[in-house]
Amino acid sequence: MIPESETEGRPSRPAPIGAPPVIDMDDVVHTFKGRRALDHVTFQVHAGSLHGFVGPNGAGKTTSLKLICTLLRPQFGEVRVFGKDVVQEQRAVRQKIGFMPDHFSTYRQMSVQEYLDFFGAAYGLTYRQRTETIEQVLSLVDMDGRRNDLISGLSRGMQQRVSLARVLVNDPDLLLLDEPASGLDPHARIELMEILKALQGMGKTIFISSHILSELAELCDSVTIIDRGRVKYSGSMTGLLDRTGEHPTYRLTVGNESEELIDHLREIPGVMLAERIPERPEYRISFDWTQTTTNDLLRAIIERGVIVQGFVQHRKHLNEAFLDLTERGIR
Amino acid sequence: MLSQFHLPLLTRELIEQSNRRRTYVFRVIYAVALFGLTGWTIWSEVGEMWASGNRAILTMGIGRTVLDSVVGLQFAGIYLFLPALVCGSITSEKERETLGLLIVTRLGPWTILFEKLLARLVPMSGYLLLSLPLLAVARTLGGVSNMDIVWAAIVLCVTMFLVASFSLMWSVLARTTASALVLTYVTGAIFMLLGNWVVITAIEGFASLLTLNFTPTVYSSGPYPYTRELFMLQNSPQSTFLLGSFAFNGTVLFKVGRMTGAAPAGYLLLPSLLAAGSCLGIARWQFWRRAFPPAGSFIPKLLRWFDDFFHRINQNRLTRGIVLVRDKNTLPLFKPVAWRETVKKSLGTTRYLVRLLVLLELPLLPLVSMVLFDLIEGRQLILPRPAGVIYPVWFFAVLFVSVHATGAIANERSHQTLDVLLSTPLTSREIVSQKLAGVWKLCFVLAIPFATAILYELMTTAEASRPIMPMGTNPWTGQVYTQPVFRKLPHLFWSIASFLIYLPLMAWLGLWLSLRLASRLRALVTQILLTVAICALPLLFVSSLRGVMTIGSMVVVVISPLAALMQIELHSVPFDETTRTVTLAVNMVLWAGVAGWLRFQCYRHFAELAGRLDPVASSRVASAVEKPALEFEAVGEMG
Repeated sequence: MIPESETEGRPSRPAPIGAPPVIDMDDVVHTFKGRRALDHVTFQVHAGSLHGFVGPNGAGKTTSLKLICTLLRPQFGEVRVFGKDVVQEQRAVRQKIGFMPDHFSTYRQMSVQEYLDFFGAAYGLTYRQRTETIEQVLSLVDMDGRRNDLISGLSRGMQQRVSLARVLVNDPDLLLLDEPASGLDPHARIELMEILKALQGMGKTIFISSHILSELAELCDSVTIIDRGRVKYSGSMTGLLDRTGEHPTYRLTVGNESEELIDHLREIPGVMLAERIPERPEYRISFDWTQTTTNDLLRAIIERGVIVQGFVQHRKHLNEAFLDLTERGIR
Repeated sequence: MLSQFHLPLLTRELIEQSNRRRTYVFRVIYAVALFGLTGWTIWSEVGEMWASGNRAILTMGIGRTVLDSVVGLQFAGIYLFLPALVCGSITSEKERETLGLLIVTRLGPWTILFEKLLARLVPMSGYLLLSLPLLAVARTLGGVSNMDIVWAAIVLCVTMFLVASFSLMWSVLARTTASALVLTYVTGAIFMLLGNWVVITAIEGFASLLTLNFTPTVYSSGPYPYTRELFMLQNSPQSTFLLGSFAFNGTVLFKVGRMTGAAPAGYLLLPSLLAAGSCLGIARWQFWRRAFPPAGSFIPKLLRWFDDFFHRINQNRLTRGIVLVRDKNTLPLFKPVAWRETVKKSLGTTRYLVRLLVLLELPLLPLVSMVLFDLIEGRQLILPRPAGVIYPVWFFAVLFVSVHATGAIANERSHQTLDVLLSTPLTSREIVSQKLAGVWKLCFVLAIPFATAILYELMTTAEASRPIMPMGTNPWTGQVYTQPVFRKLPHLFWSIASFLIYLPLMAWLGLWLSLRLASRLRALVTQILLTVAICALPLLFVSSLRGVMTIGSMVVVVISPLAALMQIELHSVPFDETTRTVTLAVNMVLWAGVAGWLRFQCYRHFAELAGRLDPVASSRVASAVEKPALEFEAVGEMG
């Protein structure tokens, strides 16, 4: 069961009042050959957000994506996209989404222009609409100079751009991207992230799946963490970073280091943990908030003659948070 | 245990095979077919006598028939199954990109080739061993010597080795398993069908040039000179090893060996062994060159080669590089999938289809012209009635349609483009109907060689009363061939009907298999095996197509498309006109119904099999959504 507090988080960009969530998965269960891929999964994604969907390999990410993009039928529960049921109104859902699987899915013997035109026609765009859209999307992904190149001759990064251009060709409101950065070099990765940010700026909702949380840290404003088919966290990225456990932890930077300082800190009432961060004039302090407050703690430190240069709340690293939430072991 | 002999690749292959369920399924099917058909043969020989009370005494000596049946079935098994087993041995490593891993080990090319070959010969040997009890039965029934059985075993083993080496060679040369399989079947069929003719003609030519005193004896299992299978230079039995064409026709080898005795029979094996050695030599020679072939399939390359060839011969003073059909670089208008199938696929473009047409039409047109001139000038026709002309056209037509149709969905799946296509708003019906657009275009082009062949037949049919050629006697069956009387209009009608029904049947069967099976190779192999089964199995079950009309022969013509074609082209069973019409009509209606059923299945179950939601499927499962979560278990969906 997901704690109330963990599902309360909302993306930083609030949705219009009364608007349904862009993605609404409600108590979804899906089983493959006796193995439960999704176990009562519930989460929402709101309009305009860049939502990360993170989990280890085999967590149920691709299954969830296939449910959202109408390729699988939920065996139990409901999946709604823009308020439309994926089972009852697939065609309407398909018109509004752009799906990029975890592989390139390109017809290698076509040119970039032909490939995009093919999908434009598949989405029912007229010739004129296609011409305009392809012009725009190629410009957005910076591929306008390569429109007549065969896809088979493009590099991995460029093929990924073509795939992204394909996703955009029907001007979807929701982009579903499965591991879009896998196999890309750091340069291509950064460029991809910039494109995604630009798309979010255009008002698109982006749902991006990955098994590397840190990759999404800078990019996403909300995140759902899934492990072994169960949602472990769904909410804002800041909410996830603020999850520091039962006892608040602060990082203290001092100007006058001494051997006795660590003992002084441990003597302060309510302090649970005080440890020096190696090779830095910094200490990590954790305290019991029922016995003391941040003000009292800081006051006690200063009273002990410590020159305080910095005192900030210690946020867990994303990977730590991820490891805390997910179980170890091979799925 | 094998690993102790330092045969790691063989060990791995055998372990993999033993872990696959289909290994056992195929073995059971093979055994059931072998025992069932042999049992049927025995029953058809002795059943009547047994019922009449003339028991054991009359059954004596029929062991020869049983032996022929068992050996014939095993040959069919070798020619059909073994290429499917062997073709993937090297290409699958290329497709999985694991050949490089093998190459960097201590295993050399010869070791890899031989271990791969052995890994495929072991299961096939198991299939051959299944016939041991049947051979014992044949020996008990009499009419079979020990030498006959030994010879049968030797020829089967040698043929198995040859076919395996031949398939392995194509596995080394080809980039994908599907292309290796197609190339093996096509080139093997060409060697089997045309090899004899080429070699015999060449030897006859040399003999006449050198005025050698040869007395050739020509045996034929068919009525026409160009299909004769057996040629022996009686003055010099040793020279039979020259007849390399026998190598690819084990059934002939078996019969010749039995007729000529052990001494020349030993020489008869030489061509097969030499051919097998040559195949392995080519495989070794090309092993490095073809280990990492560049992307691009064989067919476009072949067509490109023809393209260049035609371009070169087109550059002359007369034609000056004139281009009749120029491919336009169009973009899709309303039917994107159909556009891709007809414009972007190598077999779909007009230019390549014209090349294909020329290739198929080229051998037909001279025949038609010769007959036309003979008819105009009132000469006696020196060419036979073209019962064989339309068969190669059928062979290539069925092969091309099968290759094209089985790739329709399976290729999207293997190239990982299916999910993207399915997530577009195109309806399942639109995708299915547009997917076959390329196949229909291909059928349209194939209609021209068919029309030529049919026209040729009609021209010769008009002259059926003339003495066209001496009709022969088949030395093996004792059947006397007589000139059948053909009627123009029914012949034309049934020929057109067979084209309009059988080719769409192949197309829908291919698409259906493409939807149901995970890989294109499986779909293609299954399509080929099914086609052979529905065509040939009914013929095997009934041995009464030897010129007499029975209920059995009528059933065969009703069931088997091949029997129906034989009936249209050859009048192979002397039916009266009404019986012929009725049986053919039932056959056509039956297969048209099957084609319609397959079409319905493709449309109805596309979403379910391809892996997407559609309104039909959704409404069917609407009630299932209400069930409690714990009772659910998905079957057959993607993981």
